[in-house]
Amino acid sequence: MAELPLPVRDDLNRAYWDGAQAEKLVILRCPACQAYTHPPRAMCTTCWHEELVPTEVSGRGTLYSWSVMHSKGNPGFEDRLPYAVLIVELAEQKDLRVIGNLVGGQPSDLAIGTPMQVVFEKVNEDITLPQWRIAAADGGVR
Amino acid sequence: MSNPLRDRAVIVGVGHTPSSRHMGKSPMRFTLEACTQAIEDAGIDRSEIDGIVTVGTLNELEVLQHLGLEGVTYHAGPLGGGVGGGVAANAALAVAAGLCDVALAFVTMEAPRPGITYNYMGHNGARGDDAFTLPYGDGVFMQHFAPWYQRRRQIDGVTDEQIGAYVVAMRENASRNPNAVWREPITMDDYLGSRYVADPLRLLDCDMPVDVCGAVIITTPERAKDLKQKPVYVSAMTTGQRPRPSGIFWHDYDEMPYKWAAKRLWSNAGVGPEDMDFAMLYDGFSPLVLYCLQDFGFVPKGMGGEFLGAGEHLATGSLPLNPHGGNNSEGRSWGFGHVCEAVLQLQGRAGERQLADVHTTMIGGGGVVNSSALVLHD
Repeated sequence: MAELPLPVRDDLNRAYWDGAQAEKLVILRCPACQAYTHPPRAMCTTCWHEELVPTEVSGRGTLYSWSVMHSKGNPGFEDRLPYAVLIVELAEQKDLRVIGNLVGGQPSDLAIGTPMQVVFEKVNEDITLPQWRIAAADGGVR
Repeated sequence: MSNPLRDRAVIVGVGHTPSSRHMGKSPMRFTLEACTQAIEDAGIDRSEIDGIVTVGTLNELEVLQHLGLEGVTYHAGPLGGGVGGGVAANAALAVAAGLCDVALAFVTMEAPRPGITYNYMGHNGARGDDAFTLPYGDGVFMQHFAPWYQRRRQIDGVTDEQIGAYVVAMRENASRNPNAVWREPITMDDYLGSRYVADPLRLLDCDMPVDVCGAVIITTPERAKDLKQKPVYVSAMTTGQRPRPSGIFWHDYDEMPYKWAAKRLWSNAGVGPEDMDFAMLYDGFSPLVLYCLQDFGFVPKGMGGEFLGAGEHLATGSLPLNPHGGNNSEGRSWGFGHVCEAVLQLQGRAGERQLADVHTTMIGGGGVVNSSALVLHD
């Protein structure tokens, strides 16, 4: 079976993956205009400020959209079919979105706007992946 | 403001190979067949060709050598970075602007071979933005459109039956197209029974990758006067874009960059969507036509599904779509089949699929994050 491609750290994404390893969701934020940006960019795409600051966010969001993969083609996922790929809009900012898989639920439970909560999946000593659970109404995880 | 490029380029020749799962010959060989067919169809001497525009995997400089073109003054890719419409649009733009007099525009596609999985976008590893998708099993191209379609279903209420009505019609259209790869009609039940590839996308929503080449010859209205075919005028060519690099991290799944290709299209052409006798809309995944319909202004936002459900896309409807069967059923040409068909329809040369009394059309769309459009008339 082909190997799962794991993130290669670079100067733009290091804070994100180091944060995930510490079970924190860390997003680059502009200290000048306060805008978050993800995936990481080399400068603020809103005001062009050049030094973005890694900032821990709440780990809460809502489901923007999703699909359920039924086909082969992604290395490392041959044995996981079918699986959901989620696009989660973070609570901190409209249009601030991350990709993840659904943990602990069924795709049939999903709808646009479903509240989501980050959870962390340790893959190996170097990489932990932020993933997503459906959040319970009381703010906890179900 | 009038558009100085309006009607300054005409399409005068068409060449098109069959769409085949296995052509049994090299891409260069079948590309040359389509290109020489287009040149002969136009009735022009190859020595007059001074522009070449294409997109794809083939090295077009080898095509230049094979065709014996001693030199060109225009050599480019597609307008809008995308699909077949953009290739024709850029060639028309070059002719209209006086950068060349006779342009050859073509697109060659190859069916997958063992070891070639070009739909997978992760061959460089989980670097850059791909570091945030590949570890989640999100590296196959259709996964970057499936969640857009999901929103059309969830927000607009688009149904399987509405998209099925489109796919069934494309297969019916393709049954009258000798170049199509899928010529057997299907039923709604066949569509509904089609397996999911990336839910909500079904297998029958995806165009079949094929060996194919389409080619057209574009020149000036003056040069066209003593050529063989009735010229088809290009009255506008546009592209548009927005500031995001990928479908999956796009900021707004409810509008495609088509909206920005549409921005100047109608004013440049001097006509509106209501003037189109039919339309050639990009359908590499069938629900892309929902975005073409709304973003080019044929239906109000969110109403594409109802348009299809009412059969408005049929030959008998208010706006027949893709009479050749679209990429959906003719085969994947990145939309160049749309270009060839638009010309043949306006010239009255579309055989048993010829629409009655058609004089103007548009070609529009692109592969999620690219876009182009043209307006054509006879």
